Amino acid sequence: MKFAASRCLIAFWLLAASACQVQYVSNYDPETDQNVTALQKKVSTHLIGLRGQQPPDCFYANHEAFYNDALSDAQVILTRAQAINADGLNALTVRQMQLTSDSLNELRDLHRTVSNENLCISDESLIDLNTLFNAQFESILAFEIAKKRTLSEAEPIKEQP
Amino acid sequence: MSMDAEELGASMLGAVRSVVGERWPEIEQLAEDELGDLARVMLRIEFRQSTGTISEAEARALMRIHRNTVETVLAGIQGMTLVMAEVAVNAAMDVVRGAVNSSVGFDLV
Repeated sequence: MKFAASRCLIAFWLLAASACQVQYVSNYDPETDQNVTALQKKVSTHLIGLRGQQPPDCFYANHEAFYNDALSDAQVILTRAQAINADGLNALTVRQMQLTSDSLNELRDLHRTVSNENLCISDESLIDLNTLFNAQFESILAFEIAKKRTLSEAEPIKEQP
Repeated sequence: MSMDAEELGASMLGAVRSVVGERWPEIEQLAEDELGDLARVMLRIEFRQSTGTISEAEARALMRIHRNTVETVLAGIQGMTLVMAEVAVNAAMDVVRGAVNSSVGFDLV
């Protein structure tokens, strides 16, 4: 009985092993890695640069170019992620980039609203916004780096500051 | 050379364990760190709104970005877990493939 069960198990794994290797997520994309890193730097520089600014320097009109640039970059990254997602294996990265793009739109709308009231976004809020955007970018990058499927190398999931 | 199902199962489990054991603590730590930071940010936003330091509109915008951030982080954790599962399954498959080929004496699978 035990012998028969063992043979069945072996037969099952023979069949299973004859299949191709499984793939649950898309391959690592160096361009996504580089472009997200560049966008993170751009957004962080913007948020840190706004700290301490007084009206009218902090007003939206003086920073509109940043939003056009950053939203355009986010769209390029999203379009690339969608193109890679033809087989459905890049759906999570697509979702992450949609959320980051939404967040950039929210930030732009917030900046406009506050400027319309002749105010600046507070330094405390800018610090929190920088934390939030960094968390988004780091999460996208950590996942992208994990797609390299390296296990024993010295590369950590998250770069320590 | 004959195959022993129990020995093969133990080898597969070992391959899976080496993958999961190595990667899971890193993912768990990342999740703890990120979600802890996000919880603190949410409390600060609520505090500033309740004390009138920021307007309701500003608080709402910050909370929407916060919600997006939580979802982004969770999607990243889900993705990294899938990568880990994929590597574990393939490691187990490699063990089976090696055992089968070794048993029959040629590359059958």
